[in-house]
Parts: sequence; structure tokens; C-alpha cells
Amino acid sequence: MRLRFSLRTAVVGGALAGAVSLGLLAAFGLGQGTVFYYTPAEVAAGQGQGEVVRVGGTVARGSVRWDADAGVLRFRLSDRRAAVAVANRGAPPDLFREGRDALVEGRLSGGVLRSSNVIVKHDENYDDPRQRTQR
Amino acid sequence: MRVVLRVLGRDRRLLGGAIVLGLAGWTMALLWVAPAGFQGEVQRLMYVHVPAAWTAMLLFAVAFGASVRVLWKRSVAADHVAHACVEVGLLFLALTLVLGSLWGRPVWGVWWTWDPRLTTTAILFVLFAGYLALRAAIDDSARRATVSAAVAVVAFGLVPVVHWSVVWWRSLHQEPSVLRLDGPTLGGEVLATLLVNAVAATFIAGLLVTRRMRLTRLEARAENVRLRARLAEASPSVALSPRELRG
Repeated sequence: MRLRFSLRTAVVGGALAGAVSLGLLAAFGLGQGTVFYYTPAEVAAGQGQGEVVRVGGTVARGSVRWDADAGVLRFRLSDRRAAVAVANRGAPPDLFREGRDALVEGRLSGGVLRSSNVIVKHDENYDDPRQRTQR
Repeated sequence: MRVVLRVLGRDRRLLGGAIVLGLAGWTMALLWVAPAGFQGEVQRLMYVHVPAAWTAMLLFAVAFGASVRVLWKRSVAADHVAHACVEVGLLFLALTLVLGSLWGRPVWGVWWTWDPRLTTTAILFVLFAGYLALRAAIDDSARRATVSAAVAVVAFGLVPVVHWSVVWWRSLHQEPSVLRLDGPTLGGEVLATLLVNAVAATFIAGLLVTRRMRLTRLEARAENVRLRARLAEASPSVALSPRELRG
């Protein structure tokens, strides 16, 4: 019986199919099943209760309070729809600012996200330093 | 000394380009362009981190093409290209990860996190490191070429996922600033500095790949001579040429 496809076609085709499969598996296999962080709106809707979570949003202006005695930083993380109160043990990274995005890792308890890790997040835009204006 | 000059001479265009572009790029990055965004001086790491990442992906793409050729044509030359490109690509990917970590600590506040971009990049690193480990483990050159080529082809499937990970999933690492459909978000001096450094990195990579391939050809030739010497011992009909005997 004669083979219709040569072995090399099978090998190359198989390897290419493997590449595409790996890509698709990585892209679709996870889907949104595991999110890297929840938004404040999702937390308000009940997500992330009772486990270690990450919440990402914008540091709400006027909400930052540093309690030096207790070493606790309080602020609110907001998106356009909801806000989450955060109580962080310890000072935040240098670039932490109101109006900037942040990711906080911790546990939700009593509506407050208790954390020890604040991560500053920035987007893909880099201001032209020559045209920077005061905000 | 004459040997060194002769060897360097063959690559002089690549070497010259790498030196000129590298110096130009680093001068622009360190002395000319002002820090962009709000990060301060540490933002200058972008001018090495991003070109290293792009170059690694380019090298893996070349390795992918060469590996397809290995499987399709059983080409030994393509195997050498693929091997060299994966080695150098892995070096640039390691540089990307290290510089990214050094950049992340002052800006994000963490050395590492398992976000989609960092995780897929780490997996890609492990896959191509596996390519090299596999090659070291297989003695038969034909089988080594075929098996490692298959690994390189499959592993390359992850590269688009690495790039689009920040678009498809929520991540800490920001979305692309240059390789995006709407065009770069960077302008003027920042983009110019980045592009010069990207071309410089490509020249350096090209230099490293050609040197590595020359080394591979010498290794192959030495292996060939060793094999024939062993055969010559066993059978008088196999003889080494005078040139091979000279070594």
C-alpha cells in the first residue's frame, strides 16, 4: 500500500500544528478563568471574598492617609463605577501617587482590603518630557 | 594576531555597524534624550530592555524558519542557523528578563510577579532552554537536528501569545507602546532613541550568530576528522588526507 503523504510532510505539518496548538492552548485554554486582578466594580459585585486577591484601579484623589504611628497606609482604589477601601501595612513604592493606577494584593475583610503589598501600575503612554505640563 | 584580524575582518561590516549604532544608541539613551513619563532616570532601561526583547523574538523567528527547513529539507546548514539563533535569542531573552526585573523593582515595587506577560516569557525561556538541553543530550547529529527543530517550531507558537498577553489578559505589564495597530504612543526623541538601539541590538545579535555559526562549522569539521580517524584505525581503506593529518 502506498503512503499518500511523505514522512517529511507529516513531520513538518505535525510540528507546525504543534506550534499553533500551543499558541491556541495558551490563548484560549485559560480564557478569563484566571484573572490577574479584579476591578473595584467586580469586588463590589462580590468577587474575591475570602481569599488572597489582587485588586487593580486608580488611587482615588484625596483618599490617601498615612498613619505613621501604626504604619498603615489608607486609600481608596476606584474605577469609574465603584471603589474599594485599602488598608496597607507599610509604606507604598516611591512612585505611588493619587491619580495613578495601583494593584493591591491582600484579603478582603469587612469591606476593606487588608494588604501588605502595593504595586504601582503604569500604562503604555510615556509623556514627551519636553511637553510636560503641570497638572 | 593575524588570525584574529582575519576572523574579525570577515564580520567587519557587522562589527562596525554594531559599534557605531551601539555607541550612537547608548549616547542618545544616556546623554541626549530626557526621561519620558513619570518614572525618572530608570526609564532609560527601556532603551535596552525593549530592543533585547524584540531581538530575542526576531531570533526565535529566524530559528523557527530554519527549523522548518531542517524538517523539510534535512538541511545541516539550517540546523546550524537554528541552533545559533536559539542560543543568542536565549541570551537576549535572559537580558530582557533581568533588565525587566531591575526596572520593575523601582517602578512597580516588585522584582517579579506572575502576570501574563512575565509568565509567558518565562515559559518561553524554559522551552528554548529545553531546546539547548535536548541538543546536548542527543549524540546522533541527524536525530538531534530533527528533534530540536521540532521543539523550536512548537515553542515558537508561544511567541505571539507573549506579545499579545498584555492585550488579551489583565496584566501588570503595560500594553505595547510601539508594536500596536494604532501606531506608537511614543514620539520624537524617545521613539528615535528606541529605534536606533533596536537596530544596534539586531546588529549585535547578527554578529553573535555569525560567530557562533563559524564555531559550529569548526566543531562539525573537527568531529568529522575525529570520526574518520577512528574509522582509519579500524579500516586501512579509509585514509585521512594530508591536510586532515596536519590538523
